Parts: sequence; structure tokens; C-alpha cells
Amino acid sequence: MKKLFALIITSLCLICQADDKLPAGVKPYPLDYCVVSDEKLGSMGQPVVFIFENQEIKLCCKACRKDFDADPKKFLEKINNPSKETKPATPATTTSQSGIVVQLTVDGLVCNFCATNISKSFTKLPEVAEVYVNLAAKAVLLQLKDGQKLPEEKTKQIVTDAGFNLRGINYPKESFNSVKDTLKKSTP
Amino acid sequence: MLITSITLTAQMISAPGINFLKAEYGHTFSYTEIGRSFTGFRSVGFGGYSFNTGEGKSIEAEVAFVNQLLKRWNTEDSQANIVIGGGIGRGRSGGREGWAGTASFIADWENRRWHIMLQEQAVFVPSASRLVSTLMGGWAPYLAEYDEWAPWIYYTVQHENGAGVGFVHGPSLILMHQSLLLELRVMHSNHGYHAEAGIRTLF
Repeated sequence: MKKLFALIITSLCLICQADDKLPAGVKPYPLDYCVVSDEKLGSMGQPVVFIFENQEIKLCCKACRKDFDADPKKFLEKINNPSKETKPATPATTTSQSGIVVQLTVDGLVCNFCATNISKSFTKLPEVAEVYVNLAAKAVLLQLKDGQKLPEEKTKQIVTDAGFNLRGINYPKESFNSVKDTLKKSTP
Repeated sequence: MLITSITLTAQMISAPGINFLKAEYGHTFSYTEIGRSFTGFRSVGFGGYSFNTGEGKSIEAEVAFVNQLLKRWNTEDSQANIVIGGGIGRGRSGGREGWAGTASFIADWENRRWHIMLQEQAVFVPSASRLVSTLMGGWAPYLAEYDEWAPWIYYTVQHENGAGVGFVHGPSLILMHQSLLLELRVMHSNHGYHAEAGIRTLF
């Protein structure tokens, strides 16, 4: 029993050490963004880290791991030869709007008619340029027009009037299209 | 076969400024409904519908209705609703014509995978008033996004007090895409099988 306990403790120590230091011969990940989505690492929570053919890989989320596994050579090439097209996307290059992006998390958003209701409620606002609803993430993504703001109280009222509860609101730094793509990728 | 539509969905009356259209057709049944929920009258839908049924006693009616979402519970992954509705209009049955009215109560619960609904609807038409009880349950084989086709498989059991057709029951297939819903039903009663088709949309 003691031997087993010692083995477990030793294993845990090795795992902890592995977090801080790469095994010998493994090249560290050289980029500060995800090689699959081009999102900044950490923007989607804790990065997904693993080693592939002696190269440390850091991805922004689990969904990107599937894309990586589908064609690892392509992404290794991108890591070793980062070009202009692999640099993180900026709002100016991915959308015609440069206004604020708002992401709402909404309780009760479970069906297509729910999505239609809440989408139409925001689409008719003069401040809003574009709306995207993702049922899996219970998310409503808003692209505000340039220079426009949408007060949180007003946002909450619109969600309530549409028959739902606003659980969370945040303002992603990424572009509307980038967040939309990430939400789509996260869909099971 | 059916005296009235079985799917007075809560989502169709819960948003301000939404128009809704519903039409259902079968061998002995047709139903059309159009309405709108107004900004400032949250959770209330107004509109009108007409229906006729040729089984048992032939019934026709045109009714203006008001629906009220009494209560909605939203959780992270599900939604439950209680809806009441009422309508008044003109109806014809058994060679008589006169005032017609409806009163309905709906309770439902749904998440992205399951949906269950209970509906009680009283229909007052000259010489053919009935109480219609409906229980339906639906299941989604896979979870689809708003811009994908989402299939649902339902089973419906309905009893019309006074209709003389016993229990009516059968499966239906629903396909949803954005704000469009298409439905195909095969219902069975002691008069045999009947196919019905329906469409619903918000605009």
C-alpha cells in the first residue's frame, strides 16, 4: 500500500513538473495565438496544450483540437513558417463593422422560435448592425454599429421583453465574425 | 378529425412585434391562423383563425383570439410555459349558425432534446360544443443549430369529448429551420387513419 501511495505521489510530482517544463527535445510553442483559429491564446479560457511530434501545441479551445487532428501537418507548417495570413485576425480585416461586439448568455433559449424572437427583438434596434444566435451556447452575439452603445439595462429589458432571462453579458475583444466562428466550432 | 389545432405554441405569442402564421390541412380538417404580438403588450397575441372538420358533425368557425403567456420559467437549459387563450366568433354546425367561442389552457416544458405539452381547449359552436384534451411529447434525434434543419419526432394523444371518435393518436415529424416549421402527422381514430400537414412561421 505504501509503495502504491509513493508511486502516486511521485507521478503527481512528475505531472506538476511537466506543466512547468517541457520534456527534453520538445520545441516550445512559438506563437501567442491559436494556430487553428488565429485567436489569441487565453481568449477562450484555458488553452488546450499537448505535444505532437516533439512540438508543443497550444490551441484556444477543444473544438480546434479536432481541426488540428484532421490535418496536423498543415498546422505544423504554419507554426514553423508563420506568414501574414496566419497572424491573429483583427476586426478591421474580418468585418465591415468596427463597433462594439456584445455577447449575451440567455436562459431559456432552447428552440428555433426562441431564437427568432430574440433575434428580431435586437435586429430592429438602430444601434445593432448584426445579430447571431447560437442555441448550443445559449448565446446571442450582437455587432453594434460604429460609435453606438447599448446600455446593459436596455439590453436586459429587451431580453426580458422577449421572454427570456439574461444570465451574462460580456464584450469580446475579437471581431464579430471571429466570435461567431468560434461559437459555431464549439457546437457539438 | 381534429376539431382545432393542437399546437398553440407559447413562442408564437411571447415576443413583441412578431407576426405569426399557422396552417394545417388534412383529409377532414383544415385550420389557418394569423396573428401578431404587439410591443407594449408583452406576452399577448392577437389574431384570428378559422377551422372546419368534416368528421362526426361538420363544424366550421372563424374566431378572433387573444392569448396570454401567464408564466414562463427559464433555466439554463430548459423552458416551461403556461398559456391561456380565448376567442370569439361565428360558427356553424348541424345546419345551425351562431356565436362561437374558444377557451384554452396550455402547459409545456421543453429543452433542446425533449418537449412535452398538455393542452385543454373548449370549443363552443352551436349544437357541437366540445372539450378537447391533447397530450403530446417530442424528441429531437440530434441537436441542430438555428440555421440547420432540426428534426423532431412527436407522438400525440387527443380526446374530443362528444366527438364520437374516441381517442385520436399518432406520430408526427416536425422539421424546423430558422423561423419555419413544417409538420407531417398520421393520426388514428376509430374512423381509421388520416394524414395531416402543417406549416408555422414567424415573420
